[in-house]
Order: sequence, then C-alpha cells, then structure tokens
Amino acid sequence: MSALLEVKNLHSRIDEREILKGIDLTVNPGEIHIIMGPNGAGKSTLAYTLMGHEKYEVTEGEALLEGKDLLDMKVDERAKAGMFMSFQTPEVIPGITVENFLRTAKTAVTGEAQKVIPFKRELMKNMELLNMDVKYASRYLNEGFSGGEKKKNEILQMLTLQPKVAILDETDSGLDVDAIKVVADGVKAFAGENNAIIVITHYDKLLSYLNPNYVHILVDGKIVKTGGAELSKIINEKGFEEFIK
Amino acid sequence: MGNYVKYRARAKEHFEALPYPAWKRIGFSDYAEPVIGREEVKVEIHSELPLVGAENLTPEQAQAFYDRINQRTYGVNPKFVAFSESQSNFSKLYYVKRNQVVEKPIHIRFDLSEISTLADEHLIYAEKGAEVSLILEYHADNLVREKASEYHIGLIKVIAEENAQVKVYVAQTLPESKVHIMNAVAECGRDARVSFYSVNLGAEVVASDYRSFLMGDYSSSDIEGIYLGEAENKLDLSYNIQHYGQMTDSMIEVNGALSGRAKKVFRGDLYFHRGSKASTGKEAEFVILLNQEVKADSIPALFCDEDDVSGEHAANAGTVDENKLFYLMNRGFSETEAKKLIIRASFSGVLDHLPSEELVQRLEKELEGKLIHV
Repeated sequence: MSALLEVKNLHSRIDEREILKGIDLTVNPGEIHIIMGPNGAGKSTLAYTLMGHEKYEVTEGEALLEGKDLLDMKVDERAKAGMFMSFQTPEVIPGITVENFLRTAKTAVTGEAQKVIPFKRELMKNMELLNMDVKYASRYLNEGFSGGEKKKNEILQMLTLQPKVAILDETDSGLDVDAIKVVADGVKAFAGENNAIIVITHYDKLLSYLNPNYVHILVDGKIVKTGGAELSKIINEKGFEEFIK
Repeated sequence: MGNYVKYRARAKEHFEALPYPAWKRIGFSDYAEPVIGREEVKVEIHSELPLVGAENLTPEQAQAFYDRINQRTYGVNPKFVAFSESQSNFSKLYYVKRNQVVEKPIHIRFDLSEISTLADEHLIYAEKGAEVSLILEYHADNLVREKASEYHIGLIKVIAEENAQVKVYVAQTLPESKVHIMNAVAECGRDARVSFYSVNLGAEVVASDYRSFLMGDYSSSDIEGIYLGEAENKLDLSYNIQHYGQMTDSMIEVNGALSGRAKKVFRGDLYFHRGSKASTGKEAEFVILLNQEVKADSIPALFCDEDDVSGEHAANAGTVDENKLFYLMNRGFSETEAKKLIIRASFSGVLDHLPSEELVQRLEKELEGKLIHV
C-alpha cells in the first residue's frame, strides 16, 4: 500500500523561530491519526505548514501527497490536490452564503460545475447529519454563527469537498459534549478507505468517539512517541510531563 | 412656477462668477469644462409617487431649497452646485406629504452612454412623518465610443421635516471616460432620519460630498459608502455631518479597495456645534490596498464646540487580510477569486442595504468584471 501523505524530516519556522524540528509522518488511506501535545508544541504549525500558509517557511524536509510534492504547490493547488484543514477559528465572510460558498468551492476543487439541485440535496443531507438548521445554508459564511456552529460548518465543508486528507485543527475545542458527538458523527461519516484524517487535539474527548489507528505525541516540534489509542489514556491521566525532557 | 425661474437665473450668475476648482489633493486639473449638449437624457423611472420637474416647486419649497439650504456650505465645490442648479437637464421634485409613506423605493436609472454631460437635480421634500427611499443609478453600458472627460454632475437636496425618514442610494458604474461629481445635502428636523448610501465602482474621477445638517433634536443621519478605484482612477470623497440639535446621532462608514495606480482621499468630518448636547457620532474608514502603487489618504476629523458629546473615529488601510485569504484558498479558491470575495465581503454593509435585488446583481456583475488583475 502506498502512503497517501508522507512527511519526511519537515522543518518550518515563523519569523526566524524554528517551530517544527523534523517531523516524520506516514498516513495511509483509511487511517485516522491523532496528534496530541502541549501548548506551543507545533501542532497547529504542522497543519498550517502542510496547507501552505505563507507565514510558515519550510527550511528542510518534504511533504508528499500521493507522491506529489505538496510544498511546491500554492494553497489552492493543495486544496485541489485533496488537502483540507478545519480551522480553529474559521473566518467570517459576509456577502456569500454558505450554500454558494460551498458550491463554488466544490466547483473549484473538483473542476466540475455543480448542478444546483443535486448539490443542494447533498448539502441538506449533510446538514441534517450535523444537526444544523438548514437556514444556515442561506446565511452568510460564519456571520453571527456561534462557536459550535462555526465548527460544524467546518465539518460540513469537509463532507462537501470530500478531500483525501483532512486535518482537523482543534475542532473539538470549545464544544460541549453534544456538539462533540455530532462532530464525531460527521468525521465518522466522512472516514473511508480512500481518505485519511489527522486530528489535532489537546484532549481525548473527541478520541473516545473515534477509533484512531495512531496517536502521536508532539513535543517541541518533534513527534516523540507514536502508539495506539492507549497513549491518549496515559496523557489523560498523567499529562504530557513524561514526554517533555 | 414658484420662484424657480428666478432662482435658476440667479444660480447661472453665480456659476459664471465662480472659477473652476483645481483638485490638488488628487492631482486633477486642466480638465475640460462641462457643457450641456442637446442630447436627450435617457432614463428609466419607476415611481409610485407622482414626480414633477423643479419648475413645479411652491414658493415655500423654492425658498427652502434655493435660499435656506444654500446659506450653508456644502458640495464638492460651489461651481458644480451652481452648474446643476442653473443648467440641469434633468430635475425632479419628490414631494412626500405629511405622514405619507412611499412603500416602494423610487428607482431612477440614468444611461449616460450617449450624453456628454448629465446635470441632474433631485429635490426631496419629506413633510412631517413622511417616508421615502430614492435609488439613483448611473451607468453607460451602451457606450459606443469613449470620449474623454464627459461629466455627470449630480445634486441632491433633502429636506426632512419632523419625524420624516429619507433614504437615498447612489450607485455609479460609469466608464473610465466619465467624471462623476455628486453634491448631496440634507437638512433634518426633529426626530428625522436621513441616510445616504453611495456606491462608486467606476468613473475616471469621482468627487463627491455628502453632508447632513442635524438641526432638530433627536435627528440622525448615517452615510455609508463603498468604492473601488482601479487603474489611474482618482477619488475625492467627502462625508460630513453637522450636529446642531440635542441628542442627535450620526454615523459615517466607508469601505473601499484600491488597485492599479488609483488615488483616493477620504475626508470624514463630524462637527458638534454649540448646543448639540448629548449627541453622539462615529466614523470609520477601511480601505484594502491591492498593491503598493496606490495612494490612499484618510483624514477623519472631529470638531467640538460642545463638551457634552461623544465622537469616535477609526481608520484602517492595509493589504488583504492574509488569514481570510488563506482560509478561502484552503477551500480551493484562487488568489484572485479569494481577494474578490474578501472585497465583496467588505462591501456587504452597503450592498445588503440596497432595496433592489436587481441593482445588487448588476453591481456584483460589475465587480466580477473588474478586479481581474488583483
């Protein structure tokens, strides 16, 4: 089986400060990976670097999506190639409705025009799964949405765009138990044998609903330990202390 | 005829005595003088309110519009105010009687494709408790060939008596060959509210002055604008609210984007005169700079002759928000598409207020066709 995403010795920095200090990560189709770590370890930096935010400069290493060099691509090219990131704080974009935004985005990533009615039917189905009021489809993107609705909207976008690799950056933070369960249902509905999910999180709340293949502990810009779901239990009980040298 | 003819003759004398202004701020001078030609003014009018020309003003109305209001300073320049007053080739009186509510916005759509100069004059007289909205749209979509320095010189005067509510929407999508000059002034009585919304998506040169005089207690006014400057466009935008009454309230908010080598000067003045106790006002201007060649000056000012008032101002000029750009590109939008969406988003405050879906669609199409090089 060839890897979907392969990250080798990835270093990246922001404003001259090195944050990622050599990340190695292999993600195969059908897998769910969890990345945990203390604040400031570089979890979000890994997500932003893989997605190509211009503030994060890659100084060494490589990242390949299905063998293609991701680091050479612009942000939108990465999205078109199959990368997706769910944001911790999604941006508010008045002037475009959720439905129009998603239809345009889907057209952009697939390169195929989306027919209005089948698209809408699919959107409604996904909104129902996420327990979202369908009225949100005709509201401006994230304008006046609560924290929880914004996060659900991110998952809705993932379900709509059907990426190959979805990185969920702290999608569970700030959510109550019910909302976490709904988000987890959305993630489970998305997970399949042709895609992969990387969940970045502080806590094990979302983990209890998912069945991850791997849990990675990220400390000071490096993955210091990789294991199964049992690792998250250790973290839950003892914190990250034993992994911090 | 009221005293209209007399006032028009007087305005002509006034016009002839004044020199043409030079716009040092935006570097616009040596321009051709506007001349009213014989071409017919092409216009579509949708109005449930019967409209008549300015020659039908009552003597009281004529006095209010040409004597009383003209004692105040307003307009881009008195030369152009006098031009519209003396030589207008389109004039309308919008007379809304006591407590009359004009349900549907009056929509006037000018086609400047075949006219060298349009000088239009709009006189809105809203009596006590009256409500009316007016949309003025200026385009030249059927232009055959561009001739340099053709003019649109507009004049809007609003008298809003006690508790009247008036909204005026001005949207122009003129081509590069046109100069758009707009002079707008409102006088608000007690509890009256006047709102101006301006949309500037075209014209080589834009010079506008929107001004409200809050004379009555509890009166209020808001002026909101959006603009897009491209290529060598020059924009001189002035927004001005004068507080006289007590407990009056004002708001100025302008959002714009500049690309190419466009130049823009924004002046926003809130003036709290003595006696305007417990009044409040705020103004804000935000501009997105799409490259380094553009020039954007912002001059917000608060003047206070009264202690017991509250005024705020904010201004921000910067490049496209990189986090928004990253978010949108993450969803597959190209950099250009993402920037257009961000600009559209910054315009939504005004576009969402427009009471005509058709107009919004036309403006969105216009925006879509522009910004191709951002």
